Amino acid sequence: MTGNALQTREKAHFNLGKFLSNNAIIILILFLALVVGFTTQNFFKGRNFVNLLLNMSPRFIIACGVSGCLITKGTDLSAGRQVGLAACLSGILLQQITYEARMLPWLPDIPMPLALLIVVAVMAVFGAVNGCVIAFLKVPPFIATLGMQTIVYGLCSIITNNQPLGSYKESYLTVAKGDLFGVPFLAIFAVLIGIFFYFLYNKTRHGKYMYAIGGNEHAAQVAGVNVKASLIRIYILASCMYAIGGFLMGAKAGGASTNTGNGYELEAIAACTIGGVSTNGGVGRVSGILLGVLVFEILKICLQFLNVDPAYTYVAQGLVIIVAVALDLRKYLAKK
Amino acid sequence: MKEKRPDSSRLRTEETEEGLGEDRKDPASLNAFEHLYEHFRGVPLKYIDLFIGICVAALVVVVALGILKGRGVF
Repeated sequence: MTGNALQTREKAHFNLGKFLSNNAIIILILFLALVVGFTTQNFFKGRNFVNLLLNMSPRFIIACGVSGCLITKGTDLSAGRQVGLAACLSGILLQQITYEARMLPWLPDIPMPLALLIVVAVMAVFGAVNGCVIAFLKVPPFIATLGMQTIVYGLCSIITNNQPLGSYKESYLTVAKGDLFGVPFLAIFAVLIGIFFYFLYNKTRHGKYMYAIGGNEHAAQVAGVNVKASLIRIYILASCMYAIGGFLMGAKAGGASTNTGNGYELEAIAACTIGGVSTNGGVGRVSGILLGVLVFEILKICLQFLNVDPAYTYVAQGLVIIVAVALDLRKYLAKK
Repeated sequence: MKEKRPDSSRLRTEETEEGLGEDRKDPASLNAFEHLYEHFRGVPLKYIDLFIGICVAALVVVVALGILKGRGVF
């Protein structure tokens, strides 16, 4: 059964218990946000909201990329490292031409949009490799992308020589610092990509094929879906999103290193799972992904406002991920 | 993009029947998550609910401890 059909059936019979069960984490974290908001200062201030938007934007783009893999019953554990490599590549291409310790001193001045295109093209190659290994060699996505994660990390270390990058061109930094009528450029990027994914998932043949593959790969193949080509397209698109995410992360941080993007794949998978993208495939909406990313970022901000020790923050985030997967498991078992 | 239509002979293969029956899935065709989830097939939902409840309680405890640690109580 496709995701849309399942959602239509669920809408027909509204069940409060089921609603609470399906949205337990969202309700819990929104409750936490209200508590933090009323017990601390500055939580509901505009500056905090802008910070939330800036943090959410690249993560939403990365989560959109991962969502395609999850909907087709796959996963992409190389997402975080690909984001890191994209950030480093962007940094190498967009360092100030006058900077003495430039990574590539012989490199000519590259316009920022061209650099973005180069980074997206390079990262698409990694996505194509992931897709081909999964589609043609039938390697489980978990293993294939785990291997790619290590390869990308190694390549990133080689390219950067394990040196942090900085001194970026002003035009690149403006991507993160600038705004249009008060709306940060990063948020505009995220909105455009969200609209693109909404259109892709709901209005195109590619989106329908994706849900069909996630629902039942064999049935989709028999129905005439080119499963291999669809999977390759999904992993290429995912890598393009990591490239854009990495590009924006680099601009936002004003620097990059081999550790940039470390662990982002788990954050993205967790956000997708919280937002209702089932790890069993066939189910997931862009609005859900946005909600998942929002909830995860609100959790992080709440913990910061509560002055929670950073080590405990990781434990709390891990517990939220476990609860999200447990809820997904519960849905899977209830469906059976 | 022009899509290939399946030929009629393929529609009667074992693969087709396997795909249509959710409960008759070949274990080898399950993905990593389904393999994991299938291990819990015999577990009653109430135990899953209990586990989720414990995790939520642990989350509350961790946040509380984190706040205390952040304020230098211990």
